[in-house]
Amino acid sequence: MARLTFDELFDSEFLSALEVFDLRIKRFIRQGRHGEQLSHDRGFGQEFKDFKAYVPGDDLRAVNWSIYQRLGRLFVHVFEEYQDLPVYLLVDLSKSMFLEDPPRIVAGLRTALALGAIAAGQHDVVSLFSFSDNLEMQTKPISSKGQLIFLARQMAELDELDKTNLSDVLDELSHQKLRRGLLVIVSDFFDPSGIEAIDDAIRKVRHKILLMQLTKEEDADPELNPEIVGDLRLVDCELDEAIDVTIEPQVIREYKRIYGTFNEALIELADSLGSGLVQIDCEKDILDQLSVMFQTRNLLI
Amino acid sequence: MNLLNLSPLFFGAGLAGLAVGLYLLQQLRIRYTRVPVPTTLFWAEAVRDAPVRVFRQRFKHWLAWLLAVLICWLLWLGFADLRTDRSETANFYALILDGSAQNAVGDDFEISKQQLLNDVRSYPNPQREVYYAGEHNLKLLSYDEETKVLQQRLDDQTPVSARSSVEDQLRLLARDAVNAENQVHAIVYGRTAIPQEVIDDLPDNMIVEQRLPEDESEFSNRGIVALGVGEPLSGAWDKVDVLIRILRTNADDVDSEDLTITIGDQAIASDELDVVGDSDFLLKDVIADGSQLQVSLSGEDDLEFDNEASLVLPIRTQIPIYLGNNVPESILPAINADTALIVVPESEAEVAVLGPGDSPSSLPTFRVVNESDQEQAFEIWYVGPQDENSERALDRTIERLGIEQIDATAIAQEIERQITVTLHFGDQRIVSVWLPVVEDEFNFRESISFPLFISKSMRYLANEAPWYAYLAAGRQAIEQSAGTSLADTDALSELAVGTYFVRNATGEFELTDELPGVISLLDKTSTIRSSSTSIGSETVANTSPYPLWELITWLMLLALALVVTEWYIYQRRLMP
Repeated sequence: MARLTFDELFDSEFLSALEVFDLRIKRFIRQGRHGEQLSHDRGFGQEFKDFKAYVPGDDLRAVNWSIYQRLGRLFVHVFEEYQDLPVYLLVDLSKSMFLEDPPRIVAGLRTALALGAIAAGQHDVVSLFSFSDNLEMQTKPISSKGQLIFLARQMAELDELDKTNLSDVLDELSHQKLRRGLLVIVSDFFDPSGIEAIDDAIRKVRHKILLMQLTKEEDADPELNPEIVGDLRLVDCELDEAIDVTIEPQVIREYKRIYGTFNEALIELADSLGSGLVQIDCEKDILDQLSVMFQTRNLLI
Repeated sequence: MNLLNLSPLFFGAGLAGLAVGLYLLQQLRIRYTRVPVPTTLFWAEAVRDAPVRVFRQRFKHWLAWLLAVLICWLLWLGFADLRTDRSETANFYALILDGSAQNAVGDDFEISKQQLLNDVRSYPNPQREVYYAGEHNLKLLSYDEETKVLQQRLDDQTPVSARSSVEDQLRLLARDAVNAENQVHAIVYGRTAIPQEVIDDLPDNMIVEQRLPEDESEFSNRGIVALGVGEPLSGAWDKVDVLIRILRTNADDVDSEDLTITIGDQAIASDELDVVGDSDFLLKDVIADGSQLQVSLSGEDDLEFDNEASLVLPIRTQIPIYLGNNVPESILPAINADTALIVVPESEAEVAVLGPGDSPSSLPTFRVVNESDQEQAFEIWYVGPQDENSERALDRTIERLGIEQIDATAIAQEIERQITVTLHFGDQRIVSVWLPVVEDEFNFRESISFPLFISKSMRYLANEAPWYAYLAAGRQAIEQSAGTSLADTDALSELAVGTYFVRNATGEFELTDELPGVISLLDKTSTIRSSSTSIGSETVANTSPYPLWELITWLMLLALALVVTEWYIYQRRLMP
C-alpha cells in the first residue's frame, strides 16, 4: 500500500473523535485575526486577566473607576486576547515512508490530518507542506472544519518522492515569509545528514516546533523483524546503498545502542527548542496514541 | 572399545577432516540475503567495528563452528560403530537358512527367509556370514560382502526335497571354531531337527540357536520313510522282498488301499501287500529284474516330498560255473548250497572251478592247488591298473572275499605253516588256495566262514553287479550282493562303493552304468517333524543381538539435542 485513499483518510468517525482535543501553544505572537490561541499580549480581549497602573496612552475605557474612587489612583483592566494560530503541517514523503507494510506514510498522514482537523476546529490556519529533499507547498491553507475535506484531498494525492533531506528543507522553510506559528514535522527523521544537520537547520526556523516521529518497534529492536536474520545485504531504500551485515548479538547490541543515541539526540533537540516530540507507532491505532498525547484533552506546547 | 566400521587411523582422519572442512566452510564468503530497509544509517555504524565475514578473514563464529563440528563428529562416530563391549566384537554369527524338506511346509521357508533378512542387518558385516543349507551347503554371504546383496541371492533359493544339511554345516563351523578364539553363534532359521550328537560335539566356544518360523497350524503328515529290498523269505535267488514303511503324525492310519505300487508299467494290486506291524508293508517275491518300483501314497498332507518313493530293483541272475574234474569234494557242498550258482559246461560258464591237476582255463578261475605249487596260502589275481594302490586293492579284495573272517592263526598252527595272502595284478581274476586249507582235516571247512568264502569268491570272479537294498537322501549308498547280507552292514558301509556318494536330495542318479538308482526317501524327521530339544529355540520374528539402546542410539540422540540447541541459539540471535 503506497498511500491512503481519500475515503480511507477522510474517516468521519476518526475526525469526530478528534473534536474533544485542543491544541494550545504557550506563547503566541499577535499578528493575525482572532482565534482561540492565547496571545502573548494583553489588551481588550474577552477574559479579565489583571489590573495594572494606568500610564498615558492606555485606553480610558479600561480604567476601573471603582478603585479610583476608593484609592484615588488610576488602574486599568488587563484582558487576555485570543488569536488564530498558523499551523504548518510538514509531512515527510521520502521513500522510507513508503517502504514497509504498513508504510509509515499511512500513520503520518492520519496524524497530520488529525492535527489539521484539531487546529481547523479551533479556527486556526492549517497549511500543508510536504518534503523529501525539497520543500513543496500543497495548495492554499484552510481555517475551518468545513475545509478539512480539501486538506484530506491534498493528502490523498501525495505520492512518494525521493530521499530525505530535512536540514535543507528546514533551511528553505526558514527563508519563507510565513506568519509565525506552529510547525509540525511528521517524519521518521531518517535523514542521512544526521541529527546534527537537522539541529543546525531547525534553529533557524522561527516557528514553534512539534516533532511527530513515526516509528516502528523494530526500529529500536530489529530482532522483531523476521527478515533480520543471518547474513544480510541491507539496501537503503533512499540511497540505493547496500551494507553487508552478519546479524549476531554484538551487531544487534551495537545497533540498539546507536538507535538509542539517535532517539536521545532527537529528544534533546526537542527539549532545547522548547518544543514537543511525539513518537507515533505506525503499527498501532493513531487515535489511541493521540488520546495519550492529548491527556488532558489539550496539548500545550 | 572398538570401531567396527572404521580403522582408528581412518576414524581420526575423519574427525580432523570434518573439523577442518567446517572451519574452511565458515571462512567462505557467503551469499547475502538482500533486505531493503528504511535506512542503513544505524547499521552502517553498528557494523563499523564488526565487519562481515570475508574469505580468509578472522575466524569469529566459534560457537557455530563448535556445534557443527560436534554434530558431525557424533555422526561420524555413529558411522564408525563404536562398540564398548569386547565380548560383542569377539562374537561371530553364522546364520544358517534351512532349505530342506523339513522347512518346506506351508510358508515356513519364506518366513524363515524373512526372519533371516531382518536379523542379518543387525550384525556387523565382519562378524557375520550367511549359509544356505539345502541339498548342499552354500555360503550366501561372506563377511566381506554387503548385506544388500543377500536379498537377491536368497530369492534364488527354494526349499528342496532334501535331507537337511544344517548339521553338516554345523560340523564344518565346529571344526573351524575349535581353533578360533572368539565365540561362534550359529543361528538356524528353520525347522530342521538338529541331532543331539551334533550339539554334544560342539566346542565350548560355539552356541547354536534356532529361530522357528511362526506357525499356529498343526503339522499333519504321513509319508514313506523306508523302501527297500532284501533277500526273499522264500529263498528264491532271482526274487526280492520289498519293505515299505509309512510313518504319520497327526494324520489317519495308512492301509494298503492308500498305496499305489507299480513295477515298470505294471500295477500291483493292493491285496498283494502284507501288513507288518503298525506301519510296515511287505511285498513278497518281486522278480529282481532291474525294473523300477514306484510307491505312491494317496491323500493330502502338509509335506508332499515324502508321498512318493521309488527304487531300482536288483538284477539277480545265477552265476554259471564250470567244475573241473579234480575239484576237491570238500568244496562241493558249499557250491551246491549256493542257489546263485549253477553248474554248466565250460563253454557256457562264466567261472571255472579247478582242482589240482586240472588244465588251466581262460575263464576267471577258483583253483585249489597243492602247497608246493604256490608260495602263499591265498593268492589272488586282481584285474586293474598297475598304478593303483595295491595295498588298498588287496584290502578291498580280501574284504570282498571274506578271507579276513578266516581263523588264520588256527589253520597256521594246524599245518605248521604261516597263512598269508598275496595279491597279484593280472589279466584275469583268479583265487588260488592251498588244498590243505579246504581239506576236511582243517577246521576252516567246518567254520561258518567257509561257505561265505566260496560264495564271495564266485561272485568276485563273476564280477557280479552290486545293487542297493535301499537309497535314502543323506544316507550312504551301501552296495549289496548275495554275500553282504551275511556280513556286518556297518563295516561294509565303510568300504562300499557308494560310500563317497552320499546325496542329500532325492532324485535319480547314476553312479556307473551298472548302478542306476533313485533316491526318493527323506529322513524320518522330515515326515514326522521333531524338534531340537536341547538347543535354544524361539519363534520371535526378529531379535537383535544388540540392545535397542545401544551406543549409536545415544549418539544420534545427542546429535539431535545439539541440533535443537543450535536452532534455539539461532532463534535467540546468539549465533548467525
